[in-house]
Amino acid sequence: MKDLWPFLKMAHPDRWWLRLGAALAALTVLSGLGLMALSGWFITAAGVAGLAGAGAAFNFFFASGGVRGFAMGRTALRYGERIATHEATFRILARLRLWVFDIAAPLAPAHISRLRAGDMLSRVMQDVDALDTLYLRLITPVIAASAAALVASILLAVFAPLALPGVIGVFLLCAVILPRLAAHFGRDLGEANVTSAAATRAEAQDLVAGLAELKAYGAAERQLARLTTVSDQWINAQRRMAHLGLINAALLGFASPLAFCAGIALATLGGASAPLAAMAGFIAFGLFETAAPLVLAGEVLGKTQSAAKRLNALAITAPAVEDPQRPASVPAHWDLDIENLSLTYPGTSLRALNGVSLSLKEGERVAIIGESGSGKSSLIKALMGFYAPEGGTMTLGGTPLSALSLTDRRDRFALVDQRAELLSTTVRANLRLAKADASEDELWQALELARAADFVRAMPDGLATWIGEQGRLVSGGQGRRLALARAFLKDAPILLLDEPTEGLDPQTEADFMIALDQWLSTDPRRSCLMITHRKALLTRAQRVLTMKDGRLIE
Amino acid sequence: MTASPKTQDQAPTKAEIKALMRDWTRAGANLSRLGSLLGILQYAAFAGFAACAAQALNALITGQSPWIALASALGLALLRAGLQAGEVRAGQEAALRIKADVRQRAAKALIAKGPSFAERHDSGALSSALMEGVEKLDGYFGRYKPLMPVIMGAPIVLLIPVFATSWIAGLVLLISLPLLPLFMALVGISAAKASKDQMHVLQRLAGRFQDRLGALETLNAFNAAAREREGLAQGAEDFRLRTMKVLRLAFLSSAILEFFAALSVAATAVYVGFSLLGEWPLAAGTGGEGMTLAKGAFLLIIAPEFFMPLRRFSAAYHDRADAEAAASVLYPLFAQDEAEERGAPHTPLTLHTAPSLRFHSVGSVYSDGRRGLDNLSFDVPAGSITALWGPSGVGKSTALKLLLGYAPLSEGVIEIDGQRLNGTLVGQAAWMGQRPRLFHGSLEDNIALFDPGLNAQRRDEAARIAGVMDFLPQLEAGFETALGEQGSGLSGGQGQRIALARAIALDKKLVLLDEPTAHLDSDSEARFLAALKPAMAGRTVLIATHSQAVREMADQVIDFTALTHAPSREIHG
Repeated sequence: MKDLWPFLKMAHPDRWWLRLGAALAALTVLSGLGLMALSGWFITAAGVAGLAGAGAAFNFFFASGGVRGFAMGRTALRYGERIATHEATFRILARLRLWVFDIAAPLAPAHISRLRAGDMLSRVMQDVDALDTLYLRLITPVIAASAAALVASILLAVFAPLALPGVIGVFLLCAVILPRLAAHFGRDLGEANVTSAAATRAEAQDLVAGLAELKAYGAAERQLARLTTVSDQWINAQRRMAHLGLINAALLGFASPLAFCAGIALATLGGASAPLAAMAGFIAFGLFETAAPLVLAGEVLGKTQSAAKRLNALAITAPAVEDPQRPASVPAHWDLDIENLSLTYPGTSLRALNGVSLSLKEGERVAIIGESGSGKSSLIKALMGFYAPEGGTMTLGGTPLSALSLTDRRDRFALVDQRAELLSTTVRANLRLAKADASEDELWQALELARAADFVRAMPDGLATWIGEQGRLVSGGQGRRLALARAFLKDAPILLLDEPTEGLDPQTEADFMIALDQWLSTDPRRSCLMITHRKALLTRAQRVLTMKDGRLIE
Repeated sequence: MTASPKTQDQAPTKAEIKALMRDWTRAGANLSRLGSLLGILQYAAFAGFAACAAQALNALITGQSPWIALASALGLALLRAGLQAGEVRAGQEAALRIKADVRQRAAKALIAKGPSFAERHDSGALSSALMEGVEKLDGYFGRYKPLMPVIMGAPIVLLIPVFATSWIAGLVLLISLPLLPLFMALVGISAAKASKDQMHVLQRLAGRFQDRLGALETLNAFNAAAREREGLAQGAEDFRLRTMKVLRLAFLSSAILEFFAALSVAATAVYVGFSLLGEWPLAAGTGGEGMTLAKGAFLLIIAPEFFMPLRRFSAAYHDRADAEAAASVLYPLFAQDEAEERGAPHTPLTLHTAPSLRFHSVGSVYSDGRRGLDNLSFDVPAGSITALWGPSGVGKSTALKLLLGYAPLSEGVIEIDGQRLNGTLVGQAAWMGQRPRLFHGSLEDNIALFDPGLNAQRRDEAARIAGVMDFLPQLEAGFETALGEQGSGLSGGQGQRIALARAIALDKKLVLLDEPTAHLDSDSEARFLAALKPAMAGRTVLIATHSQAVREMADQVIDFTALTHAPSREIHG
């Protein structure tokens, strides 16, 4: 329960919706109970009166009115309950999603590695969705069942005291012990389910994305066999889950008539009149309507708890680099000095940067070359404050970068890397990431500079064209130029380029470099640090340094 | 351009979806029928329970012993619980078998249709069709389908004893029955419309959230996370409002159902009560001796159960829509395809020695009308290394894909060892694409592609040539290192070297490499090319490239810019 506590607290702003839902749920269950008890008593009493020939004296208006009232009331109450609990849940889930975004944002990329981002994030989304069981299927049914048990106990204690222990005993067995057992066995099964589902997804992705390779080498059948194996394991895990649910349902299905019979038998043995004995039986029947949701809740509790556990773990993860207590003011000069910088990625033992020193004066262009894995990109990640260095200093205009707020620090740099990541939204919104209030003129100016204006103009909706996965796809070269336009728009003192022309053909690469030259020349103080192994780019640099095993060699 | 036949990208019709789902049913048809049978029988057992329980109540007021009736009631309740459990379980088992079968068949179909099909459909969408798409069939085959006969059968099973007890009570239930589906259909239709209208909006909102979470690094680089949050908050609010709109209608439909059920139960109760009191003029409705408590209690216990199958149906109402949506996602995989892919070769071709190749006026037009190649002719001598040279977009990749049947051969002839190529060289050629895939498995699995027959010597030799040995010592588990999740910590260059080792290790006489050195720096590239040349002795090698170093190493260079005029569109891959 400890894991779920923070999420109950998070429900606080919508507590009235939750309370309303729980109250309506309790009233729904109580009207069901009333309906059952009253009908049982009514027809038996009517039977007794009829036999005695005293039918005319029987107050059937009270009883039949009550039966109709309970029946109609229950329908209306249930509708209200469902609206209220769902309203509460979706309000809370909307807030939870944003909360996840808030806690995840500072963790990228150090704790949310790009390589595993997709899997991890879909897991996070599923975890958020799994929490709806907490509000819908856990809290509400428990409150409703408790209310019903309380009222049933009072009724039984007054009218058929001997039936009380029997009925409540069977009920507690089903409403408390059975859900706990279900939770206990459900946890392991749930885990097996999640693991085998993930394995199946991995093999399915391999089959789809690797189909060209698999087929060419004649390995497609082998991959199909691998997929079938894990898919069968998954189906088996689901089968075991079904068995568990089945045992629970069968026990419950039998327990309610058992309580019915026990109620009548015990009440009769206790000397209750026939109508009251019938009422005791029907109360037991009505009470059991509330037990089934509890068992279901028990079955999913494990899943909800482990989802909560993962989200909690994410929430307490500290970002790699945090804002300083009292941020320094932004320096006026743009000279960048790196002194003896070293960096080790979390979870690895090898130093990615090992005593790197470098100075980049205003207006200077420096290129860094080196083999893949030599630490070139790590330098950029350290500058951007994505990872915390182990040692060494980075200063800008004499102010340590670590003394600046993260926002100011990242405003000093405009980054174009080999991914040139674009969001799935309009061209305009993608560009405005760099400058939220950029005017149309500024946008077109940046596009012109980046040699991207022509193809954007040719797009069906111009700047309003949706790009990215959910919209029109742009080619690698076009994406790179849009990313460059975005970097220009940011208008930062230092431009960081990480393999910006990787995979582009020579013509596109040449266009890219002309754009770069033009922009750099618009302010002579601007400097540029580029990481590349392309010869064409190196000719644009004033100095070329080589990175090897985390060290810079001039 | 040739007149294009119906492509499988068009949305399937309702009838096609229906036929597909009927076809899928077969894997679990008997179980589904068993479930329905048990489902009807459990209501018969319930009628028995109701009769015995009512008898027990009657015994109480007439002073007889209630124990035998109570014990029988309990026994029948036990039987019913068993039948009920069997019904549910049979349905679930049917769904499990159908899901396993559909996933297997979909995967087989995907393999048969090949990479050109996979390329046209987003790879994420295809793997989610195999996962979520198949999972969404669960409710329909497990609950909805077995329930349909129960909806018809259970009321009949219950009505017979009710009519035998009292034709008036029977009539009350009978009349209320057809009214319910009518009202539910009315509400259901508007709910379905609402949910359909919102569906793509909902997807877009969910997709947007995923997209922004995935792009957090870029958002941070631009200090834009806080600004994106506002948009997401708006989206989440929208999502909630639209979901609630759909749910309100769905809840309304079940409230209407419950209302009518409650109404007819209350009517039955009042009728029974009045009859018992002797206040009802039509006591004759119950036959001979008039209303007794045994009859009355029986009617009252049975009345709510009478509506149970319909209530279960309304809870399963969305299962069908879900399954239909999933079926239309899976449909392209199951659709009969026009022979766009030259699937299994008519004459299985095995290359024992390095082949010679001849392209003669070859053209390729993709099914979406994109032209990949136009009028291409060149010769490749057996055992040579040939560089296909030119800027991106001239069709180098298409030329390689043609040999494997991954691109359509629309015009011209390809000859292999002087024989016209009828099928494809799938399974006969080593092929490395521009973005090679790293599979979930060990590094060794990735080189052998799960073939346990690859010997260690070949593996080491291939790993050495491809440069895998350069970084292997840094990996703690060596060849046993687990890869997947697109590489788990390996750089793009390292991944490419593993794919190269794969191409070298498997003893194929024809080797097709698409931009093999794109991620390598010039030193690594030089070392790689120096090692590659001797390793390729006795094989015919085609390399698509725009690297000068590769061009210099090759035995011959086919300059695509000179051979064919470049297509107007930029082509990926």
